[in-house]
Amino acid sequence: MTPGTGGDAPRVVEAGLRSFVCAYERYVEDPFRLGQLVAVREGPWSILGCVVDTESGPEDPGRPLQAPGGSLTAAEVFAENPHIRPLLRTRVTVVACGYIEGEGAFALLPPAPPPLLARVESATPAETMHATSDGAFLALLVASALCDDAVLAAVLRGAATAHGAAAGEFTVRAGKELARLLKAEPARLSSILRGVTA
Amino acid sequence: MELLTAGLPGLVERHRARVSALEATLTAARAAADAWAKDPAEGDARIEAAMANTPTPYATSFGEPPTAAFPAPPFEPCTVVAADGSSIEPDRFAPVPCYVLNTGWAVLPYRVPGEAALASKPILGPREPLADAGEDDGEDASPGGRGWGVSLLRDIEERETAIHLARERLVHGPVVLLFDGTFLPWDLDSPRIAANVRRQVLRRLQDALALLATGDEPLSAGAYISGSRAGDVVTSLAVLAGQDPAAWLAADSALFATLLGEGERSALFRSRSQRQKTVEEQFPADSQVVFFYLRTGGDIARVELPQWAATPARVARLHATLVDQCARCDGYPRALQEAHEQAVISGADRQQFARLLETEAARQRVFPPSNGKQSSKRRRAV
Repeated sequence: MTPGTGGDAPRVVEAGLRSFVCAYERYVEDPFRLGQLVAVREGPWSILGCVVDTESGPEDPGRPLQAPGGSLTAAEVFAENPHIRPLLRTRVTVVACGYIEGEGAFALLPPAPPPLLARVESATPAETMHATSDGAFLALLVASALCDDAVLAAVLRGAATAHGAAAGEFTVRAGKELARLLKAEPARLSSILRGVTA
Repeated sequence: MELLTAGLPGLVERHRARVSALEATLTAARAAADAWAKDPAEGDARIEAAMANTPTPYATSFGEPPTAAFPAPPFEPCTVVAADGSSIEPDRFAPVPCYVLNTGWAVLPYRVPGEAALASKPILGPREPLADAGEDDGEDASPGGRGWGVSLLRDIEERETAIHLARERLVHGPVVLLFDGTFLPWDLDSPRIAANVRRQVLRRLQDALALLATGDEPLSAGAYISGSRAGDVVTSLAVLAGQDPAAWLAADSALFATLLGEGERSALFRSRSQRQKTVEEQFPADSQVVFFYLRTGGDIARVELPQWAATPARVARLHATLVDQCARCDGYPRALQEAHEQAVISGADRQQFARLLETEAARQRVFPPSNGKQSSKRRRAV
C-alpha cells in the first residue's frame, strides 16, 4: 500500500497559501512520507504540495501520552489499551509547490489556499511528472523556511521514482535548477545533492 | 488564611476521635452481619418488619451470605461500553431559555474484534415548546426552571446511547455495559420536575431497559458509584443489632472496608426503600436493583445492577471487568473515565455557547430581560 493511503485520507485543518496542515482522523503508523508529493483536488484547481513534517501525539495537549513500563511492543500496548489510539492524531505539514488548473501545471503559489477539511491524497505519478518535469517546482520549496535540506533531497528522490526510466534525466535537470537557485549557498547545495544520491 | 490555618489541627483531631469511636460500632456491626449470614431469611424478615413504614433506605440479602467476600475471577475478553453525560443548565439571564446535553461514550474492545470508539453527541433543547404548566407540572415548570428536568433528560440520553451501543457490539462477543451513578434515575418521582417530562423519560427508559434485558446474550451491566456514601446495609445491621440507625454507622463503605480485600466484591444485596419502590414499580420486576460493593485501591465502590443481570456468570464478568478496568485507570473504570472525558463541557465551551446564543438572539432582535445584578457582575469595573 502506498504510504499515506491507508484508511481515510487526512483533511486540511489549517490552510495557508504557502503551506497547510492536514490531520488524519486518528493516529496512523503509515502517514505520508517526508518529501512525498500530495494533492488537494477539491476546489477550482488541484494544489500540489510537498510533505515537510509529520507529527503524532495526543489530540488534547492536557492529556499527555504516558509511556508504560514492561516489554510489550507498541502494537501490543495499543491492543491492551484500546482507548489510546482514538485519542491520538497524526498531523502532516505540507508546503505548496504548484497547482494544476485544467491542462496546465504551474510551479507557482495557488491563487487561494486549499479548502478547509478538503481531502489530501497522494499525487499520482502522472501529476508528479507533470508538476516536476522542468524542476521549476523547486523554487517554492527552496524559498520556504519549512523545507530543510532533508526535505529537498527526499522530494527529489521521490519525484525521480515517478519519472521511471527518465529518472536520470529528471535528476540532472532538477540538479541544474537547484544549482541555479542555490548558487550563493554551495554548502547547502552539496548537502542536498548528497541526500539525493544517498 | 492565617485564621483558618490555626483551626486545622483541632479539626483533624476531632475527626480522628470520631473515627476511633467508630471501632466499637464496627465490631457490633460485624457481629450483626455474622448473625445475618447464619440465617439470611430470618434476618431479612426482621429487617423488613422493622423498616416497613420508614422512608430510610435499607438492604436485604440476595442469595448470598451477607458477609461473603468474592475474589475477582480472571478477566475474559469482552467489549466494555460506557456512557456519561454533561449539561449546560438553563440560565435565567440568557436571552432564550434553553439547555444543552452532551452525551459521551466509550466503546473499548479488549481482545475481541471491533474498533474502539470515543465520541460524544450534543443536543440543544428544548426541541419543542413544553405544554403550559398544569397542576402537577412540577414546582418550577416555567421556561428554564428546574421543571425541565435537565439532569433526568441527561440520564436517559446516557442510558439509551449506551444500551444501543452495547447491543451493537454483542456480535463481537461478550459486552460489559457501565453507567456512572445509580442504575435507575431517582428523579423519576421528583415532584420538582414537570410531570410530562417525567412521563416522557419514563417511557423512554422503559423501552431502553426492555431492549437491554432481551435475550440471553453474554451481556453484563452495572452502574458504578465511586466512594459511595449509601448506608442501606448498615441500616439493616442496626436493626439486627437492636440499635437506632440514626446513631449508627453512616455509610456501608466503613463496614466493607473491613470485610473486603483488594479486588474482592461483597455479597449481592437487594436495595429497599419506599422511594425506590415508587420508582421500581414502573418497571418489570426483573429490573429491580440489586447491588454489591467492590474494593479497588482505596475505594469502596457500590455497583448497582438489575436483577436479570445478577446471574453468576454475568456478575462474574462484571466483577472481573471492573477490577481490570480500575487497574487500567488509577482505581476508576477506564471506560467510564473516557466517556466522561468525551462528555465534559469545558468552561470555555460554556462561554462560547453563551456568546453564540446571545449573537443569534440579537440577530433576531431577542434580548434578555434587564437585570442589574447580572450586568454589574459582568462589568466589574472599579
